[in-house]
Amino acid sequence: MRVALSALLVVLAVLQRVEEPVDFLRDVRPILAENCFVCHGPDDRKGGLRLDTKAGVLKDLGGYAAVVPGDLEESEMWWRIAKAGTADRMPPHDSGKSLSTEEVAVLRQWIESGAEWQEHWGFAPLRDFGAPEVRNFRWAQDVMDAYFLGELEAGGASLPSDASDSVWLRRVFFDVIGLPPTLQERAEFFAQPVEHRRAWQVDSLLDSPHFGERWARHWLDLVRYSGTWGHEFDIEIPNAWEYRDWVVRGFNADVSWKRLVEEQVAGDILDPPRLNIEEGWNESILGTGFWLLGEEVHAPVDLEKDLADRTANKLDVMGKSILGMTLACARCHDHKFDPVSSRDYYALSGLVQSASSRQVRFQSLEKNKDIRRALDVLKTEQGGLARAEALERLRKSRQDIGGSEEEHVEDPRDIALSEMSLMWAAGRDAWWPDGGSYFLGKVGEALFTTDAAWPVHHFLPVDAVVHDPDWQGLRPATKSRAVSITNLNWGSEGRTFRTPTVVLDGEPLWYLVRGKGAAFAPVEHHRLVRGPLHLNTFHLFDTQGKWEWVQHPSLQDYEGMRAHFEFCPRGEGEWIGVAAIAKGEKPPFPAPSQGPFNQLLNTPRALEEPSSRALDFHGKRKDLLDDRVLESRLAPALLDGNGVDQPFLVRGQPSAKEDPVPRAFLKRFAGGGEATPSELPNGHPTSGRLHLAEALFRDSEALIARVFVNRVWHHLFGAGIVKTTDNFGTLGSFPSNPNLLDHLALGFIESGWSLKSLIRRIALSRTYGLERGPRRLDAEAIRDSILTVSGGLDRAVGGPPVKVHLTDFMVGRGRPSANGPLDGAGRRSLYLEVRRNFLIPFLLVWDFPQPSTSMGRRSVSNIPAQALALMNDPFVIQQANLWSGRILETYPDDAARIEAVWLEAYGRRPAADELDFCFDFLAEPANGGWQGLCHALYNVKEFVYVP
Amino acid sequence: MFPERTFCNPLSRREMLLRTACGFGAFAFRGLNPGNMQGRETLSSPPGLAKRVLFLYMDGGVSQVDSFDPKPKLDAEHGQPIPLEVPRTQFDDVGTLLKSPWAFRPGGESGIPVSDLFPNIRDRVDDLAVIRSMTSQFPEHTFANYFLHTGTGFQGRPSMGAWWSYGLGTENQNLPGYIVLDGGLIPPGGLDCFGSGFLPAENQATVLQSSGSLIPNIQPLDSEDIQNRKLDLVRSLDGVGMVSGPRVEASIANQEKAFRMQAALPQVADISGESDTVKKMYGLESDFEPERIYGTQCLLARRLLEQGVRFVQLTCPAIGALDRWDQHTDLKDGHAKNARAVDRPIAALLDDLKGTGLWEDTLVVWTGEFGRTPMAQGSDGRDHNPHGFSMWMAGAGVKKGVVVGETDEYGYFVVDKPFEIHDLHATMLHLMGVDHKRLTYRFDSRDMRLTDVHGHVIKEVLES
Repeated sequence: MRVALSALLVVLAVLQRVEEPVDFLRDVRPILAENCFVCHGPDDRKGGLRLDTKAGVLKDLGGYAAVVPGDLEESEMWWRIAKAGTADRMPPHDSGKSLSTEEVAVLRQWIESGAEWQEHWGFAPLRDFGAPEVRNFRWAQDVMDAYFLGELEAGGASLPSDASDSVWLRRVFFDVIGLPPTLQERAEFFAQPVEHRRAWQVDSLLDSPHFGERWARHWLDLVRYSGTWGHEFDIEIPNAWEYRDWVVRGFNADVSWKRLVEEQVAGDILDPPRLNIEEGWNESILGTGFWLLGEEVHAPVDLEKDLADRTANKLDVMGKSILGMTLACARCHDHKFDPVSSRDYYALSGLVQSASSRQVRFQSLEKNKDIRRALDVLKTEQGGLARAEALERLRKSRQDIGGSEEEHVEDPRDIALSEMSLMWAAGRDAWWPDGGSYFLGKVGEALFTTDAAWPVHHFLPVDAVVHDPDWQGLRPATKSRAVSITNLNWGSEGRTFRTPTVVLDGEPLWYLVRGKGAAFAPVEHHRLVRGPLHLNTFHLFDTQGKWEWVQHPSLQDYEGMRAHFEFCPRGEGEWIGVAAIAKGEKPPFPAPSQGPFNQLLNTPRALEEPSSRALDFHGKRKDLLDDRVLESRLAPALLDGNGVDQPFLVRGQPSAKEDPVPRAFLKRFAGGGEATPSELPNGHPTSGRLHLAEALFRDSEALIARVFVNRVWHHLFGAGIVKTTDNFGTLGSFPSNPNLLDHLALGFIESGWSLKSLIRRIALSRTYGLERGPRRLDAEAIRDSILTVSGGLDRAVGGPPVKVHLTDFMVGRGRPSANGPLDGAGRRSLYLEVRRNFLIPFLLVWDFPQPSTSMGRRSVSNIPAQALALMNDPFVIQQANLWSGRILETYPDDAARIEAVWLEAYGRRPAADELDFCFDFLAEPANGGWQGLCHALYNVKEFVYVP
Repeated sequence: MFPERTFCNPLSRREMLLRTACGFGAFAFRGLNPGNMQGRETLSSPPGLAKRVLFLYMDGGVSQVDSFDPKPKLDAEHGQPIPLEVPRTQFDDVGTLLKSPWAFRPGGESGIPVSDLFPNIRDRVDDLAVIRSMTSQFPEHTFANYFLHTGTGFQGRPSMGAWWSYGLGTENQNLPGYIVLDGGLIPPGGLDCFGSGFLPAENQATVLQSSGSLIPNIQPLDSEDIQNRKLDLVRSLDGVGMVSGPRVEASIANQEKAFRMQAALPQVADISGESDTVKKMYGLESDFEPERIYGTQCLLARRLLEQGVRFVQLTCPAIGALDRWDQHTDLKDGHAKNARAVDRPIAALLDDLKGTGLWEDTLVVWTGEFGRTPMAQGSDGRDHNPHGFSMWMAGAGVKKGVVVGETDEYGYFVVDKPFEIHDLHATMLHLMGVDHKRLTYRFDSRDMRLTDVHGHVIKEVLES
């Protein structure tokens, strides 16, 4: 709170501070960091001195030391800052820095009192200090209030008065749901008994679906949410809005913040996933969209640099949004002030880069995986018999085939399994399916049909990962965008599997496949393949029903870079099998030839009737497959992969690679930076993000809780307890009330990380309900208010975004071809499309943030363009017309009308002179009557400034 | 914790105006630049230095070996492979060396060679400092554009002009401090090349269009009379409303400024009063539309600079189906048309700046985001080349008639005095009397700079 006091009180507080014990973290370290570290810090240690460590401060510099605890005269620092002449004075004159009298006094007191050195507050464990003692204890309604009051009393400031119910009501509506109260909502509030009405109101707002909308938008600022990738053509990120709606649903359902963080980090591999309450779909996986909302480039020349850049953005966002730490600083050098080394940075890079991405069929995912599991069980139990009978029936249909089927289906791969040139082999190596349509088939295994009369598609001549022939017809829901604007337009959603990541060595690459499909090798995870540059990373093949070695286009240009392979069938009714990937001038062994039984299968003939056991098997199989979910919405999500450690890059340069750094969470937090396991509990290889999600809460729970609680405080009071909401590192601002911060953080964890409980508590505190200076509404609240009072607001929740309304000024490459409606179809601003290169001007003038990195604290600018927008934007005028029309229709006379618009727009009744001004205005017919009046009322400052 | 709290009982604006003797005016001035102004230093330029910048952006990348950097080797070895190891390019389709379709001739007394692409600029080459050794870090347009404009290859950072506006403010309270004249082509990367990033929004560019309404919402939809009366009502209601304080006062002041801008901006943009001689000089009577457009922009630029706008940038006009300077094919036709559009207007602008006395304190910078390959892409184009390209500066504090730096004998890589975009930015700031290391803004708890942690002033182009 200290930071926030008015000028006079700051002076009082400083004077006071000199008398009270000096606090190293609050008072001393910021002075050193601001004035000294540049020359006496991690980078530069002028005169052999560094002041950012305890050892450095106390170091013997040859018979003297910068600080001798308790001894002012023996401390070189004191002489340098207080006594030395200009030539020796610190900080030096030409540094542009200087110490104020108060700062010198603080340093003096610190040295005299023993120069205590403390661990950074942000990383320390949470402590409960108990309720502070206050004189006016009756005033406090919550422990929180006591903290506030304690600070106030210590500073000698008088207590502001309680805000009126009207003021409180308008404030709490904007804060909790981002909309102003309607007349009816206002009436409902005042109809409640006085002593219960505020609690009733807060509960009712927290129950509103608009709550999640408001608070989702705060989080979207932190994850640089956008529906396009920006850059040159501003290409769409398909279905990004599903992530937005995931946040809305998560907050509305009050899912614990801990869980929501875990889902964003590792929602694709959390077992079991959280299921949607109504529809049962996999919610957890949608959280991983978190990683996929950054800028992307369609034809980067240097793919390694491009991945390094994208990873830096991901880590930057993860660091700031979840941990309040500027991790990305460590990309080029050890973090100068926080305990994050460059090795930490690359250890995290490996974790983040090991997964790939896809459009997940999240609605069908769980159900279809269950069906796959059931099919596997059925195959184990009855598949052998069904297969034997099928072979027998085939054999009987042609007498000239002798011997057992095994003689005809031998696995040529056996010969080569040990060969180095075999990079990946089905049955030997890991693979990750995107959905339930794939299974691992063993050599000789039958690919069954659901038709008992003709029971087999194919006998596998080799172990292979197979897209099940019976899983045709998977399709995206109409709401979802499936058409890829890249060159990868074969409909991979839910029909793809990937292999582990390998390092390319420039040798020719081959895959043993059957079917009509696409193979894609996203080099350094470059997926936005468009333009001529990286066309060699994918290949379309059609083996005409045979098993064949297909050569991939040369990847020689990518020697030394990393890639995995993805396979997908092309075209309806196609199935594929993938047996192996090899490298070398030629394939390591011949492709298996068409065995006699498979030849038989190609020439339909009458088979004898199936047995009842075979009928039972095929019937059960058909029943299971009948339940498969063909249609599903899509969303951007991660697809896990094997763990790949990222080589250390000297000064962040991809050209300066050193040894790989084992994947791990930050050393400072994790017990010594324990390396991440490479396997999931079920033994499957993994990137290690599940471990990261666990490590986050095991090792930095206190920090995560502090950061989140502070964000909530920031949104409810206009400034955080820690002002630098996205930086809790040593250069972040010191908490104005550290004990309050810890108190709230502890309560937050105790409540099960419940956002709603936290908001409820703060909103019902006495402190929240005090009179305050006016706060300007943010961009969305201003636009949403305009729509609310006009009556033009469509309160629908969720769904695909409304297209951006394009003005003549929104020009440049990637400009959408279709224009959106002027009023955004009346939807809340949250639901307007966010296009990186075509942000909405009306929101931008009110500081809507550019989605490039985390923005926990929007700027609140004050510019003429805001006045121009309210005066001249056709949207405002359109809404003024709508508003006036409704008012004219609803109320009988101007006095009643003016009272209504005042309540709607400003949450209070008009004063007599305000009424007079309006009557005078209306009296002049040329002013446009009520349309003109409503337009003017949007321009009154009280519309955008809330007391 | 509550920065907007006033720890006395809040007053309505009415009460406050009654109780405080200073009232409106005092607050209006104090509040003009509120918000996140941490770390701002007021930086005014000493006399004799540049007061304003004119940035002529050659979108797409002009070929250095066809304009300011003659390479006889290309004629000699035309059609042969380049004997240097070359990195991958954007289209990765570069073939053999391609000689320039244009002859180079010495210009002025300095004799600095300039190709026939720019005969008019060549006549004024004695006023220019040509840098032949500029480099960029990025071979793609968008990265390179962000880099050139913001000092970082990625979206979201403040642009040069925003730093200028933030650091030096505006000289004319009725006009924005940073204006981009949109000739028809917004560069790849979009309007974010001109954004304010983490700087306060007031510093972002005001983009003036070459046709139609000049800037968004500048044209009142109401008649002047009705708008006046609406504003009177708003003023009255704001006078008695329930919100008060510096922010609200600043907002009221901005409303008045916006009202004045409605008149001032169209006035300065109206070139009808300029003489026919001036219009002809700028190419406004040309039969080539892109030249007319660019000429108009140049004339407009001079008017804005005269009015005290701090930073004016021009983007290129569209040249039919050809796309700015980015000639991956048909270099000859594309470069010729682009040059035709800008050569005479730029020469006229240079003359006019001298004639109107603006020359002495205006810095002129001409550059693309990178150059082009000396090898052909396909048979008759050139691909992107960030490893060595030419640009020039002129005007306040800039040395006249010099050439700085050198590329190899094919014009691909810099071999002498390599400079980078950060150096350009440092030099531009230096010429304004600003140390690029001291123009900072606190964001993410770091003192951010246009030049990040890089940048050296290019001393070779300084007059003194």
